[in-house]
Amino acid sequence: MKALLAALLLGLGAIPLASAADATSPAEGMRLLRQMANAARQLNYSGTFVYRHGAQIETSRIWHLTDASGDYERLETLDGPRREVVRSNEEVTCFYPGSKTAKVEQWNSSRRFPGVVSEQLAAIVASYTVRKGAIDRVAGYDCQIATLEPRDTLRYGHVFCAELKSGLPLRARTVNERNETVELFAFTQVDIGGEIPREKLRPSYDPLAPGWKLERSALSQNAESDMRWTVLNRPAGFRKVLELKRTIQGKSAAQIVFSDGLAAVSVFIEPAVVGTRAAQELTHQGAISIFIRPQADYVVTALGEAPAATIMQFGNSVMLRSKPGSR
Amino acid sequence: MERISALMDGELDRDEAAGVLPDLRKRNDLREAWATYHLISDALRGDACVDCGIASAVATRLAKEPTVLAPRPGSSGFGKRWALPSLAAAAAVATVTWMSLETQQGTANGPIAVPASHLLVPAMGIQAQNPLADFAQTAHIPNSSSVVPPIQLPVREFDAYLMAHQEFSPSTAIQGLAPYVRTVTSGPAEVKR
Repeated sequence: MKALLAALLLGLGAIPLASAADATSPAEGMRLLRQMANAARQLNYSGTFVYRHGAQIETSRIWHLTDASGDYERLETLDGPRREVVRSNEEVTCFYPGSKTAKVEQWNSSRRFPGVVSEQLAAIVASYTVRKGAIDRVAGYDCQIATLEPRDTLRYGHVFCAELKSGLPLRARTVNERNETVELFAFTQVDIGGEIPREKLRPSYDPLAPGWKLERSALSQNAESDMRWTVLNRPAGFRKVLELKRTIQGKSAAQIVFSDGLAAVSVFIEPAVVGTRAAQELTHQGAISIFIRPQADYVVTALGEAPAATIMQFGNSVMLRSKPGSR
Repeated sequence: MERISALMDGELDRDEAAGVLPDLRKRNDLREAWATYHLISDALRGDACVDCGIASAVATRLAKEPTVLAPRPGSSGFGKRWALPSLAAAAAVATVTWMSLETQQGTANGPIAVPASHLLVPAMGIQAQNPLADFAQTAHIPNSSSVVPPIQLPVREFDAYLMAHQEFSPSTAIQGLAPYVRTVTSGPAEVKR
């Protein structure tokens, strides 16, 4: 391992882009990211992790099982009210037993963020400096630190620690420009590989039971001519990933997704309820900033893993295109 | 239009731009879009408000304005022809006023603005588990142009939006299901400092 690291470090000298002594070649940084994504997708693992946002810390259990029959994940919260998220292949369900509500969402593999692919390399490198850090220890495992330092204040920095052998991300930290942690996911205990009992992947609740409400979020791809909204003056480094139409809480909304390769921002536009005017509001939960504002007869909701100013710029830059065919 | 926007953003390469320019010369609608986009972009850059709340300002002024329902003396035909539309306008103003009064009911603290996106929440019964906690900590940035100040409302309605977003977030690609905990967290969102 040391020999490998030495070889990698020596290799840096040959790369003119890597001006900082410890900056890793973009390709190497990308390899680390891809390895984390692959490990999280392909490995069986179960464990306990903490989610820290602001001053709050919450603990959850997670199981991931992938076999010939498919790909399954389950997450249950251990603190506060019981909540659960279950994924069975392309279907994700969030259970809120307190209000007997289940929200179901069908992933669409052709539209989902495509893992970590080469096309993202350019985007990531343009917006972040990739550094390979020291070896750290998380949940009893040695792990490799990889830092993605933003080149501007439009985005947060990311510090990952990936288990040395498997590449499984054991810790993911999001930091602001003052290097303060705004959000943290970290395993406190994890078993990597091995058998995962199937029943651990089954939801604890039946959303079809009496008293439960099952909400489905439906999607439909927009025809080009239906794309009425555009985001002008979007923050640098963010590219439009996709645009679609969906039903959200029973209302039809347009969703436009932008990404710089590591952070994503969704802009939702839906008709305002007649006779009301939405209040402008700005909220955040950990790395997620949420900005809601009225725009003529519509309500714009911009949210994503980016600082408030970035999310507000997205929310404030939504424009109705002049109608196709109109003069 | 997409290409005009891209051209403006400098996202087209030389060849793509060369393809768009002849269209821009020929088509009125594209030229108009080009001009509009620049206007908008300038307005945004200049920090001028694009949505200045003109509609609500006009509505307020209109509401204060006395509405004369009687035909004007000496304008015979003209007056009759316009009496109905003006009555309709008065009715519209009355409806708007009534609706705004409706939304103001049930609060001891004076007028409120109900974010439209929140209206369906109680009806649909998808409140967060601890609505009081949710009420408590949302930072509201008053909309300076709005006539009525906003009230604090539950924020956990954004769970649905967060869930819709999470599928496309690279954090899901890199970390698997773990980031979905954001959508089921019991804690309130923090005040934006």
